[in-house]
Amino acid sequence: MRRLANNPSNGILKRNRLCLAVAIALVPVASYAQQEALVSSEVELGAGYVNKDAWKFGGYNGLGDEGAYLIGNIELRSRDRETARWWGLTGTNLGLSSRNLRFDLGTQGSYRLWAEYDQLEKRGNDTGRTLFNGAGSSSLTLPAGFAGIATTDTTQALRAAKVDPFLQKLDLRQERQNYVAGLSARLGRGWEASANFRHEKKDGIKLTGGVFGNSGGNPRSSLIPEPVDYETNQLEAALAYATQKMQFKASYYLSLFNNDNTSLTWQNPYRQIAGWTAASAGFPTGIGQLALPPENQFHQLAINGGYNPTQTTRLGYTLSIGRMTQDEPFLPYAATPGIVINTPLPRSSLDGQVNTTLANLNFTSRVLPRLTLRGSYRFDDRDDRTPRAQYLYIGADSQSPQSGVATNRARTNLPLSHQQNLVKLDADYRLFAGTKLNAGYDYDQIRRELEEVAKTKEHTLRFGVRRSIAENVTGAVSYARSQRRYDGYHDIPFEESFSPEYRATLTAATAWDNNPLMRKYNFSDRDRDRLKFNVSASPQQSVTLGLSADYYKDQHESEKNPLLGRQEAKGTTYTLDAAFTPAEKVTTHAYYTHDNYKSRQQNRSFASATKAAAGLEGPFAGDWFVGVDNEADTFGVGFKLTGFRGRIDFGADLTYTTSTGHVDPQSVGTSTALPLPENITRLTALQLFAKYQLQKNAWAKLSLLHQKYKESDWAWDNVRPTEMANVISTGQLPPDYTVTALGLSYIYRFQ
Amino acid sequence: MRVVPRLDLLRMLGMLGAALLLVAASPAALAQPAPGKASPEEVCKGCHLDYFNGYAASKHGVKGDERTPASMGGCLACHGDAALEHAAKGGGKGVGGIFSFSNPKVPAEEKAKVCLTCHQSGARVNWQLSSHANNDVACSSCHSVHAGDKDKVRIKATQFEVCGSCHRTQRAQINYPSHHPIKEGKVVCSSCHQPHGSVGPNMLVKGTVNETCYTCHAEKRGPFLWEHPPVREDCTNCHTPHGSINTPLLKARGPWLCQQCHSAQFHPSTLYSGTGLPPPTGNAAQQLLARSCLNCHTQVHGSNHPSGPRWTR
Repeated sequence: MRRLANNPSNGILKRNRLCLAVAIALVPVASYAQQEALVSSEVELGAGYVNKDAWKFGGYNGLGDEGAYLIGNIELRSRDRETARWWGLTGTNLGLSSRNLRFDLGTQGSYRLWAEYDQLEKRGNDTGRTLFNGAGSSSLTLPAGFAGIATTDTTQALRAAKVDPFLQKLDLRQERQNYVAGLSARLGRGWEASANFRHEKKDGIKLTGGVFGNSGGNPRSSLIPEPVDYETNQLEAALAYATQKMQFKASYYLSLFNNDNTSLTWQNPYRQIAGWTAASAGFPTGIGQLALPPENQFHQLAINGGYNPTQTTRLGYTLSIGRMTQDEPFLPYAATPGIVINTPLPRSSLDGQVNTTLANLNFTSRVLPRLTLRGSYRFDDRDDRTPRAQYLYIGADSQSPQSGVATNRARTNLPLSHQQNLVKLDADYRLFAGTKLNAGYDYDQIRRELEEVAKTKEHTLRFGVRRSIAENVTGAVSYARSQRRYDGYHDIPFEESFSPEYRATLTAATAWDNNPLMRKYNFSDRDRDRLKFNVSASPQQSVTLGLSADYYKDQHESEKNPLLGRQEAKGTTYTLDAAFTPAEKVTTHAYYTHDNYKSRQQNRSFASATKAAAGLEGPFAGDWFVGVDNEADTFGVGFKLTGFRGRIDFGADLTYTTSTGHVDPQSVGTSTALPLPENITRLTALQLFAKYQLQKNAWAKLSLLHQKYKESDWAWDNVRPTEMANVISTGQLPPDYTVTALGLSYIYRFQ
Repeated sequence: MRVVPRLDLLRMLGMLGAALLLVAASPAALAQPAPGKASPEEVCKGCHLDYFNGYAASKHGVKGDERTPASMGGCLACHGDAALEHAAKGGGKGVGGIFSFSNPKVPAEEKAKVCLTCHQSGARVNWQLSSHANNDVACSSCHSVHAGDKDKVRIKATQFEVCGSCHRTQRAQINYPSHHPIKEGKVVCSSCHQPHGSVGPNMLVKGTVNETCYTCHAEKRGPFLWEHPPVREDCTNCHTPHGSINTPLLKARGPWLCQQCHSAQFHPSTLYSGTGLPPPTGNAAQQLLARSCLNCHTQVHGSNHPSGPRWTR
C-alpha cells in the first residue's frame, strides 16, 4: 500500500498506527449514506430582462440586446463511491449566446468520455455604418446610384453629400461554436491513453481596411466589413506511462485551419486620381482584393516526462517537433480589370513550411537539507523552410505592371527563422524556519535570420527572499537585473528583400528603407530592472491584509545618437487587499489596484529630399518625441452572507475601473505638435444576488447586473464617415451606456 | 520530556494488541475494516464531518478506484497515521502531529510531495519546474480537496477568484476596456496557462507564446508570404493578454506603437499629434484617426497576397 503523507522522505511524519484502536474505540460510528454529499444536482430556470441595447455590455456575456432572456443552468452529477461509476451534465447560460453544455461519463480509474458544446458571441461596435452592400460576404459592391468620390470633393460636406445617402447599418459581431469530444482510458500497468477532438466554427463580421493607392501620397481607403467564416479542427492524442519514480508521455497535436473565403473583393468608391497609373483603378471599374487568412496546418509530436532518481532529486525532459504548412493558391497580383500582368507570378502558391523543435531539460535537487538547486535548458527552434522568390507587386490594385526589377516593387519574401538557447540556474536556501533566500541566473541567447539583428544575448541576475515574519505575517521581495545586447545591427531586410538592381540605383546615403538609426525594441540593447514586493498579514483570524507591488524599468541603449524607437518603458502596479470575515457566514473583501505604464520614444520626420540627412547621427530638424502615460485604477468591494435568518443568502460585488490614456507628442524640430486629449474610460459594475430558500431543496434567486460605462476616444469621437479626406470611416461612436439586467429564477436541488 | 498521563498510557497499552494486529493487516483490510470496525475515515468523521462529507463526495472518496485515498487508508493516506494519535488525544490544532495542509509552518514542498505521490504524472509532470513550486505555493493553496466537486479552481466560473487572489494585477486588468472574456467566464486562466508547470514561458500550455495563441487564433499562424517579424516572433511584442486600455489588447496605441519600429520617408516617420484631430483642431489625419495605420496597412499579422509586402493586401 502506498502511503502519501507517510512517505519515508517526509521527516515530519513518523507515526505508527498504535492509536488506531484507541480512536476506533472512542469515535462513534456513523453511516456515510446518511450524510449529505457535496455532489449535488441542481437545475435553475428563470427569466431575465435587459433594459437597453448595449453592444459593449454584451461584449461576451450574451446580454447585448434589450429584452427578455431565459435563465437556464443545470448541474446533474452522479458518483457511486463503491463502483466508481460517475456521470455529469453541466450547462451554463443555456438561454444566452454564451452557453455551454458538457457531458461526462466514466468509471473512475478506468475510463472517461466527454462531450461539450460551447458558444461565445463577441459583440463589436454596432453604431457604425458602411457604404457597401454584401457585408458578411466575400464580395462587396457599391449601392446603385452611388457616383463615386472625386478629387474635387475636397470638403467633408461634399464627400458627405456623395456618401451619406447610401450608408447602411454595420453590425460587427463574431461567434464561435465549439464541439468537443474526448476519451481517456487506463490501460493497466501504469499506461493511460487519451484523445481530445475540438471542432470550432467561427463566423461573423469584423472591420478591416481596404485601400487603393501605392504610396503615402495617393491612398484612398474605406473601412470595410470582412467576412469571418473559419473552421478549426484540433486533435490531441496521448499515450502516457507513470510510476511513482518516472512519468512519460508521448503525444500528437494536430491543428487544421480552414477559411471558407480566400479573399475579399470590393469596389473602389473613389474616382480615378492622378497617382494611380492603372487607368481603370478608380470608380466604377476599380476592384480591390484582400487575401484572407489562408488554410494552414500544424502537426506536432512530443514526448515529455520526469524521473526521480532519489527522493530529493527530480529530472524532467521535453522534446517536441512540429511542422506548420500553408500552400493555398496565390491570388493574382491585382484584381482590377485592365491591369494586365506582364510578368507571371514566380510560384502558384507559397509551399510554406516551418519546422519547429522544442527541447527542455531540467532538474531540481535538494542537495543539502537547506539547499535546493534548480536548473533548466531550453532550445526553441523555428526553422522556416519556405521557398524564397521575387515578386513584382502591384501597389494596392492601382498601378500599372512593372517591367524590370530595378524598382522597389521587386520584392523577395523573407522567411523568418529564429533559435533560442535559454539556461536558467537557481539556488534556494532555507536560512531558518520560514525564511528562504533565492539567487538565480538566466542566460538567454536568440539567433534570428533575415532580421536586423542576428544574435542577442541577455544575462539576468535574480535575488529574492521570502519570509514568514510571524505565524500570521508573510512577505517576499525580489529583484532582477537584465542586460540584453545585440551583435551588430544591419539592415538585412532591405538588403534581402529589395532587388540588387534597385539598391544599385540609390546613393550610399539613401540605400535604406527604414532609418538606420532605428533600433527595434524587441531586440535592441536593453537594461531591465524589476522589483517585486508583497506582504500579507492576518492580525486576527478574521482579517487578512495584503500589499503587493511590481515595478520594472526598461532602458534601451544604442551606439547610435540619437536612438530612434523606444527609449524607455516603465511599469508600476500596486495593490492593497483586505478581507474580513466577521462571522462564520459573512465574508467581505475590498481591493484597490493602481496600474501605470509609461514609455518614451523618439523618431524623426523626413521626406525623400531629406532622407540622406535623416539617416545621419546627430540632431535633425525633424526630430520628435512621444511620451505615453497609461494609467488605470480599479477598486473592488464585495460581501456575501449565507444563512441569514436561516433561509437567505445574498451578496454584492461592486467594481469601479477608470483608465486614462495620455499621449504627449513633442517636436524638437520643425514638426508641428499639438496636444491630444486624454482618452478616458469609466466602468462601474454592480452585481447583486439574493437566494431565498423556499423548501429544503428549492430556492428562489434574484440576480441583478448593473453597469455604467463611458468612453472617450479621440480616434473615433467626432469622426464622421467622411471626416478624413482619403478614408471612408464608419462613424461609429465610442460606447456610453447604463444597463441593468434583472433575473428571477427557481433553483431545485435533487437530493 | 512530555509526561504521558498514566490513564492514557494504560489505555494505549491496553489497545496495543489490537493495534499491532492492524499494523500487520493487509492494505485492503485497512481500507475496508471488518464488519463492526470503524475505518479511519469514520474516526475522523466524528469531529470533521464537513471535511469528511466533502472528501467522500469527491474523487478522492471513491472506494471503487484503487488509486484513491479511500482505497489506501482514507484520511490517513494524506494526513498521515499521526491523525490517529491526533484523534486519540482528543484532537485540536496540531495535536498528535497530524499532517495538516493548512499549517503555515509546513513547507509547501512537503505538502506538494504528499499530493505528488499520486499526482506527479499528467499535467503535473513539470510541477517542480513551475513558478508556483518555486514560490512556495502548495497544491492546497489553490485546491480544496474537501469540497466535493466544488473545488473552485476547477470550475470555470470561479477559477479566476482563486488565481486572482494572488495575481492581483491581472484581477484588475480583466476589467479594462479591452480584455479576453475572463470575467465573463468564457476564457479561464488555465485556457492559456498550465498552473502545474510547463516548459513554455510563463507556464503557458504550449511551448511558446505564439503556439498558445494559435490554439484559438489559428488564422494568424501562417506561414505567410509576407511575414511581419515581431508578430511571428512573439505576439506579446505588441499585445498584452489580460487586459488593456488600448483596443485590441495593445500595449500602446497606433500610430506610435508602429513608429517604435518604423521610420521610413514621408508618412511612416511623420509626427502625429493634435494636428491630425478632426476640424476645427486639426486636419483629420488618415494615419491618426479611426484605425490609424491599419486604415490601410490592415494585414499586420501577415499577408499571403503576392502584392502584399506592405501589408495592404
